[in-house]
Amino acid sequence: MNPTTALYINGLNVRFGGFAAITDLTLEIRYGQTRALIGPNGAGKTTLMDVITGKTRPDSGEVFLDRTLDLTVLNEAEIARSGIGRKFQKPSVFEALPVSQNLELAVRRGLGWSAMVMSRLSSVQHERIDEVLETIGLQQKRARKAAELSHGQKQWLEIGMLLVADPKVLLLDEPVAGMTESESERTIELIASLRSPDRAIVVVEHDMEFVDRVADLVSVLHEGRLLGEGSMQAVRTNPKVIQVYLGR
Amino acid sequence: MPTAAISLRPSFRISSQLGLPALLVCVALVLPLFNAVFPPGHPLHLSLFVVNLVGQIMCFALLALALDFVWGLLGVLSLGHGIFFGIGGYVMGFHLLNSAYADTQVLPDFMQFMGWSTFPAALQPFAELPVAVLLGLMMAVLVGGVVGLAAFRSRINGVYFSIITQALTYALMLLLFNNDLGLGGNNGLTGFTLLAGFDLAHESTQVGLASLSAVVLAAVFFLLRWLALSSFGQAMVAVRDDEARLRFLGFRTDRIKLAAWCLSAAVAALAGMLYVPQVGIINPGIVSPMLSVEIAVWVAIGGRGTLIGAVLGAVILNCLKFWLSAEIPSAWPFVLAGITLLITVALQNGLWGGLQQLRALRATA
Amino acid sequence: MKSLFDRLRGSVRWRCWLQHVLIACLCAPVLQAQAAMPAQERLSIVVSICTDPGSYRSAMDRVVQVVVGTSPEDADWGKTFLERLQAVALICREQGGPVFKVEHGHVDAVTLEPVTDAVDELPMVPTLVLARLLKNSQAETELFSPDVLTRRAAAQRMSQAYAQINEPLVRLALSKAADAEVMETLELTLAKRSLASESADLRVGAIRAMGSAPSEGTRTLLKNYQEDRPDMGPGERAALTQSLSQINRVLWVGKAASIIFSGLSYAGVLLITALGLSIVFGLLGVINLAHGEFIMIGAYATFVVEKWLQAHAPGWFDAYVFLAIPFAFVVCALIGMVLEMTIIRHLYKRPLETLLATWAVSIALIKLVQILFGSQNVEFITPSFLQGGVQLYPALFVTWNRVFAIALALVIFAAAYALIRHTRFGLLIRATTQRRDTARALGIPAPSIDRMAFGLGSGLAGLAGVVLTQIASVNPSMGTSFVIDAFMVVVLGGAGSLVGTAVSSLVLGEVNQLIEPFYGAVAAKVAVLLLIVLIIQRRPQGLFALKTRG
Repeated sequence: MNPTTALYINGLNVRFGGFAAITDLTLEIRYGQTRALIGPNGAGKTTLMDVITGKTRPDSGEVFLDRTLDLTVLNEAEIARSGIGRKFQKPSVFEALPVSQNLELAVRRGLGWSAMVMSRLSSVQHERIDEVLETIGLQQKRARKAAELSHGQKQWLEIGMLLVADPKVLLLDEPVAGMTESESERTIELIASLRSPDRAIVVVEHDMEFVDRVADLVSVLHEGRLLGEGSMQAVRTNPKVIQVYLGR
Repeated sequence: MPTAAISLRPSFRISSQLGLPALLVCVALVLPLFNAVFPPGHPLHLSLFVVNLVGQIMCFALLALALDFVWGLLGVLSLGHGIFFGIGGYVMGFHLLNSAYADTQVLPDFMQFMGWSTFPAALQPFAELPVAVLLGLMMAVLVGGVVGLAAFRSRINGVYFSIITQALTYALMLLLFNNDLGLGGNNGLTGFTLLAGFDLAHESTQVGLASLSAVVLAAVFFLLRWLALSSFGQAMVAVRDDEARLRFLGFRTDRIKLAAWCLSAAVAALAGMLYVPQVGIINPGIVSPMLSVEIAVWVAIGGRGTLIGAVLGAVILNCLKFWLSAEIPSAWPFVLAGITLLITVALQNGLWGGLQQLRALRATA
Repeated sequence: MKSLFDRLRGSVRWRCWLQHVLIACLCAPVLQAQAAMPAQERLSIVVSICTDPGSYRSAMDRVVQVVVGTSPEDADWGKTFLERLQAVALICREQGGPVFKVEHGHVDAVTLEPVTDAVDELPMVPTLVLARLLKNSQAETELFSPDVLTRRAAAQRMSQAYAQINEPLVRLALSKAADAEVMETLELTLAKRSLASESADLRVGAIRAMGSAPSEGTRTLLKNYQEDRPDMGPGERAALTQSLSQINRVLWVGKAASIIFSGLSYAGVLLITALGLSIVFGLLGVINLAHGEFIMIGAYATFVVEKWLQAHAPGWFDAYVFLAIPFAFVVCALIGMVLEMTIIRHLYKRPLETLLATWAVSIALIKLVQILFGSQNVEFITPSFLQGGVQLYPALFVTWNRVFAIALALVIFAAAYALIRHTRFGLLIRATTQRRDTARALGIPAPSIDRMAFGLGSGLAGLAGVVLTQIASVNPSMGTSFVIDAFMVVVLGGAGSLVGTAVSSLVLGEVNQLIEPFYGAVAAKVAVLLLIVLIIQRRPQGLFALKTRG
């Protein structure tokens, strides 16, 4: 581990019944990095995200935030409050609420319910929301119900909901899935703009062009194991990776 | 053409306009007074019977509000709110037994049948009205808390939760029907005479009670509405629509659910407390599984998630029920069944929700 | 609740039968010898009574043996003799032989032929001793009466006068008893007699014998004996303690088995009900609150069949349950399919609305049945082949109707299982449950499968109703409490899983039966709920969920 280590995963093992989803996985992600996780379906990418965010408990192995915070003993809400934001594969926003209220909820980050009843948002928080709306390009739509947004807009809103809380770690699960060309382009720009020395970004994607443009490092997963790691170039020419993707 | 305006899912539709609720409140407050203000014989005079009916319906509307808060906003369908209604009702019953005994020095019938010669110590804490009310609310919150904690921690949701609340209701009903417990058994608690010094048989007391019910209904309605429009309400809606997402945003969703649930239980118990002095009796039938489902039907028909809809549904259906039970008793189940089927199949957003949709349509057209 | 006819509980206790047959065989030759010389024997008996008080006892014994063990005419003579003697109508003449006074004259006491000469002597009045012996002898002969009720009453009297009984005779009566109650009373009588014996060995022997013939009766007997005799010897005391513990153990096992058995019949009905619910919920995601009403309709369909057969084909009456099975199934399946077509189909993927809609249907159905049949309990006549039961073990009396219910439940489950697992239809259902979209893509007509599966589920509920008619009360609201239990089964066992449904119905049925008699229905329900909440926490999909990593 390193002073700039954000996420440290060591010797992770996850089994569902007889099925080994993740086997002996070791991974380190640093602040300032954008890491791409690629691999065929069933390789364990989403499971890895589930473990990090507390949705699934591993059978063995370590998962640490900032080298000291053990994520395997915290629940989902606690992990989220500690600074890890996750964007789901399927856009998960609150369809019944307007865009601005989605963000208002997100910025409160799980205050106690009495505080929620009583308190108003501070001006700092209001500014933050405005900033984020600007970044994700939904200023005009702030009063619209989230249900009325297009697929791509919902994805951006979801990213925005994570951003308002200024996360240390951003986990993005297939952020451009189902998007049009222009939407993908916007998203690439958005994610690229999120890079910061205090933030680590992990992206799961199948779109290789996207990965190329967005990621610093690529980790390849296959059948629950780490197949290879390195720059996009290195991974592309790795014989094992080629075999997995092109071989069988 | 913004078709999304006609969303099929119940959305967050509590309007910030006060017009309609204020109107309804005025009507509710004024109605019972017609009995007192206008003399008998005057066309606007309402007989005591009608006023009493109005009071009872107010209580049912309060009960429906409690359920809509937790179903329409939070997304948790409880088919066991009769439990809390019953708790409030029985506690008020205990208090009234105390005051009747203090008044007449005669033990209630069921105690005499059990061979008791003195007023049981277990019921004496309910002698003072404020204490009784407080105890009743606390008991409801306690029971609700236990059930909620067990269920929400175990992530029991949706239909499974509803079935379990039905089973609990059934169990409580069986418990109350037991004649050996000293809680009145299948005859329930009766023989009430005084409430806070007022004679229950007296006309003005009943009018007062009906008015009180209306006032409480109005107050609770505005309280719940304020909560719903606050960020707590936002969080509740978020829990309803995507609890997992909210958890991943850092919210402790089971606490949100527990808080809303306990509040709902308290409101339902309050409704029970107001109900019992107006009907003069409380028996285990109030905790029947069937009545608890009926409450959900009122809310569904009125339009869930709107709070006003719950009140409307309770009022309309109970008026219908009282009228039909007097005229053609055996028709009521069929009428209720028919309306329920109509609403669930065709008018999913209920009457009030349907009206809102019409208005939205007209606004965008 | 149940008809009067099944109060008759004929049963056969085969355990001690052999023992008594043996004794009867030993006694029989002795009695045969008596039959060889009736006339002299009769005279000798009458003369004894007339002349020798010291021989009363043996004379009475001999009379009884005549009644019991010889030809019918001798038996008649014996009975007449006893009856006349009791009626103070025996005249012991100095000359001419003893006569009986009858209504219009006298008959010879030996031949029973009318006697024409005048009789001036007065009849003999039996002494107190003789009177008592007469009573006993009456009872002894009644032990062999063809009427079972007479035999039972006689056995009771024997039991009260256990100290004076004629043991071999009682054993003979025991072997010919052919009725459980008589046998039990007589055995207890013999045991009491042995317990009162002077000889310690005999007593110990009796105690041991009772230890190996456990019943509530022997336990009470031994317990009373223990209290009455604080001064018994060590050997006797040891035998007593051992016998008592033996009896207690056996009775406890029997009681436990009895509870488990009654839990089984309840579990069986629960199984069929939950099966239907599980298929419907697993496939359609429909929580059908009207499922209980299908049970009720099935029960009333059985009633209709019963009444129809009673009126039009009484010879076939006993088979009404079997005929009701297909009838109830078809009726309920049809109603179910209509329900699916008109209502459920529109509420696909909206479980909470489906819940309310099916609730609406259920209240309408209950009211309809109330109007058609009235709201009071409906009486069913148990078919003759299901009446009564068998005592399998001490304290375990197994009634045939419950056995039938269990057997029927198992057969239906097996049939449903075979249908789901081994037929094409079942395969289609399973495929559509697990992956609806893929199934549709493969051309499987999901809507039709839905309708038929709903029909199947409702039909199964109807069958549960048929079974229930034999073991529970039938009225329009019978479905409501049952359906809550059935839902608990589905929640616990996992929707859509057959094995899960079977296991959890067994578990919940037994838990219910184990707790309810001791702590009441409320505690049973609460216990079940707690169990479910605990298990759901660990496995939210139920014990054997069909969908796993969903």
